[in-house]
Amino acid sequence: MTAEAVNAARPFVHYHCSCPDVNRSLSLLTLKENEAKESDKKIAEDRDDDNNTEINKNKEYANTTKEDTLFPLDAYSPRTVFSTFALSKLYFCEDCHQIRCPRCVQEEIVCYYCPNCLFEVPTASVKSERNRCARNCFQCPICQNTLTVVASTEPPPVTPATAVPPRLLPNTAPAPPPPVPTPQPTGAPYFLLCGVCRWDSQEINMTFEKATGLALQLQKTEDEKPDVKEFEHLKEHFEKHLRTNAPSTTLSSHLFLFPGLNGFSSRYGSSGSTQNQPKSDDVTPYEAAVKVVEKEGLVKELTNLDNPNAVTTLTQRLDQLSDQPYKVEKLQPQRIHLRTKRVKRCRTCHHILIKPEQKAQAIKFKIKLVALNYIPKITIAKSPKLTVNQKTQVILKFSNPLDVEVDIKLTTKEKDAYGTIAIPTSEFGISPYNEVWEYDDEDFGTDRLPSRGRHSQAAANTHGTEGIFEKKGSYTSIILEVTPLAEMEEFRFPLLVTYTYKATIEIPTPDDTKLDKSSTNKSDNVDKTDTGADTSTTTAETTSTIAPSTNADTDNEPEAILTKEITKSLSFCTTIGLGSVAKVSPAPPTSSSSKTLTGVGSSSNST
Amino acid sequence: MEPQIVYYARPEYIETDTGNKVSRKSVICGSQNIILGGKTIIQTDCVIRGDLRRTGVGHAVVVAIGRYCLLSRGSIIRPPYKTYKGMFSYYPMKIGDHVTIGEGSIVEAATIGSFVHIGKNCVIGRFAIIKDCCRIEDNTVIPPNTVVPSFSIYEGSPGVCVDELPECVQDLYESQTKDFYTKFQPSN
Ligand SMILES: [Zn+2]
Ligand SMILES: [Zn+2]
Ligand SMILES: [Zn+2]
Ligand SMILES: [Zn+2]
Repeated sequence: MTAEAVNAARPFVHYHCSCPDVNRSLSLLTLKENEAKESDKKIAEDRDDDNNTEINKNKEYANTTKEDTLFPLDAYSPRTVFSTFALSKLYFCEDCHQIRCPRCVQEEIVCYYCPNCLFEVPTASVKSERNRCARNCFQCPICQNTLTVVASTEPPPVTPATAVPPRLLPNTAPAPPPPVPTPQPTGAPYFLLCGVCRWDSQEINMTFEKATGLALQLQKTEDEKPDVKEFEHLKEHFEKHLRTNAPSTTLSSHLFLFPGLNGFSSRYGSSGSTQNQPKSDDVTPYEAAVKVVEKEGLVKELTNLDNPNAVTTLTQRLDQLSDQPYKVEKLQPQRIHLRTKRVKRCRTCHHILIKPEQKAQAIKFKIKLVALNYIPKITIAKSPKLTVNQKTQVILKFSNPLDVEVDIKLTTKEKDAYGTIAIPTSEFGISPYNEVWEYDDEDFGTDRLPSRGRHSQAAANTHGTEGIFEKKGSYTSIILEVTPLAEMEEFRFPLLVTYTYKATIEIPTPDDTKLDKSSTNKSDNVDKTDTGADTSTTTAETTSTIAPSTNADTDNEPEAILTKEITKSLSFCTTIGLGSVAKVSPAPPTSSSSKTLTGVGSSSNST
Repeated sequence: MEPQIVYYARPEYIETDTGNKVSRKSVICGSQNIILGGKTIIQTDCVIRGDLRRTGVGHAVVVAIGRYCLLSRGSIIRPPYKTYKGMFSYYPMKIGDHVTIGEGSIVEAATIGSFVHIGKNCVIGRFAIIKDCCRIEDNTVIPPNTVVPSFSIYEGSPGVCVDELPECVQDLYESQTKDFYTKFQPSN
């Protein structure tokens, strides 16, 4: 109910990713603006370097940036939009123990498929089919809807809708023509029809003999298009140079790889392309294969048009890249673009973060390291309307996705030009996640009585120093006190979150530890004849060698199990938006009291 | 923004053994042909046309809706129809689990997968196929026979793919629908 009203300026919590690559170039650029070009060069070189050196450099830069400023981002800068994301869009690299965003992952295409007929296209034929569906899937040139195949002469009782099945059941059979109710005259010329704007391909004299393999029937005309010819010619021209110059066979395939949706990054991961460039100077001059004569009268024709609808829209023009026609009658149906499924890797350590199942229609993932399962989720539980110079309490809810207790520490800019933010309790803990609690135990029907208790708790909070609003299940809600100093469309502030937890890591297999530890410490004591015969004694021995060290660290579990507790910690920055700030209204004194939590509690009780 | 608890008047809703909550102010036709998976909410002024079944066939499931679905206020579920070989007929509709259908939307799809979010005032055309893990933005028109592949965001009229959903969308929609169900409470 209130959620609808808030919709206009929706509050948000966005997480900042300190992308190693981007930050490095940024810091370089800001430090030495004059040497901008050089830094670019350097980055290009770095890409070709060993992974190891790159990682080290990244660490270096990450450290420097952290030392430079506590808050790497200015909440009001338009640039932050590009480095902050909703939690759902982020990944988490376990090896780097860092957040990864769409900018700092590297993608590899694992599967191409048509989004309409859902057929998978083998990688080998993607190039020759020019990245589009080679079956019966076409896009309306006018409205981008998917076109349907229709027979022109049909048995009377059947309405056009019947001819639709080709697209409905593409998986079962190669598109059955209207299921032959009458003898041979099956409605021979077929055409494409748009069910939305009623465009039909007969308008441009495009008809088909058969209802199947339409793309194949059109292939000849498509191959004759000047841009296709020119591209083939270009490819021919350069490919032979590349072949002679570059022994690395991957190069040519990389150069002509058509990236799918967002698939560009895979190109940057390729190595060796820059190293061979010096040699390629001796490319013979290229001469165009096709010369397209610009029609002269076009501008005149266009200026004399009466009907604005006779000119194509930008979308229509850009959908037909081959000639980008200005006149509507030149528009042609386009084969539907293929989509891809991609593996995503951490760009720093190259470990896989996302690995989808190969099949086009599967929605499962073999590997799925999303930030949602690793870092605390922050939601704005209550954010009343903000007013200039008025202290307002905002409740942030921190949920713990981990199965261990997490300690949170918050830091913010307490005062800037836009307002002040106070966090009464900036350090608190969150209980571990437990799926059973999450939904079954939370009975709101009974909870509404204890909300009196919550009420009193909140009341107590206003007196005491405690800024914790609620601690329950696997979440903790805390109170922030926000006082905006100016009227604005969106009040934002940065919040640096540090979370710490104790992780139990398994010490590798007994054999490994034996190799690691006993070789260094006890190699002399271990009786070499025993090792093969009795493994249990050797494990006991190794644990005993390790147990003292674990005890020293954590004084936990005197009986030696092959695990070790370590403390893990990660800081990340978020930007929080709280919606618009209203003018200083001549607010009656009661309104300010309604903004405090006691007021909120009582109002929820009354409803 | 954390979703708030939604209170409803207890007498308005019927709660089934499996936890479905169906408003008495909704219009459910041919209820013997409708299956609700459990913990599904059907709000005020919804219409489900379970009576529009295939001609000639006896008892059959017309509308199957999975678990943790939400039909928001004023949404309409109507099985798709077509004339095939000169015969007019309705065809069954299947909706998966964790599907949210926004206020005032009209659905005539053939199938809607699981973990699907359909916004407000949408029209999902006849025999449309919406696969698992999809999002249809508010005020979108999905033309008849359209196939919406997994992890797509569709928007506009006619709806076209405008973006991809993140990989964790399944977990996201699952927790959202469960959260909504637990927070959908009688007011007294
Ligand atoms: Zn990043
Ligand atoms: Zn296709
Ligand atoms: Zn159209
Ligand atoms: Zn990594």
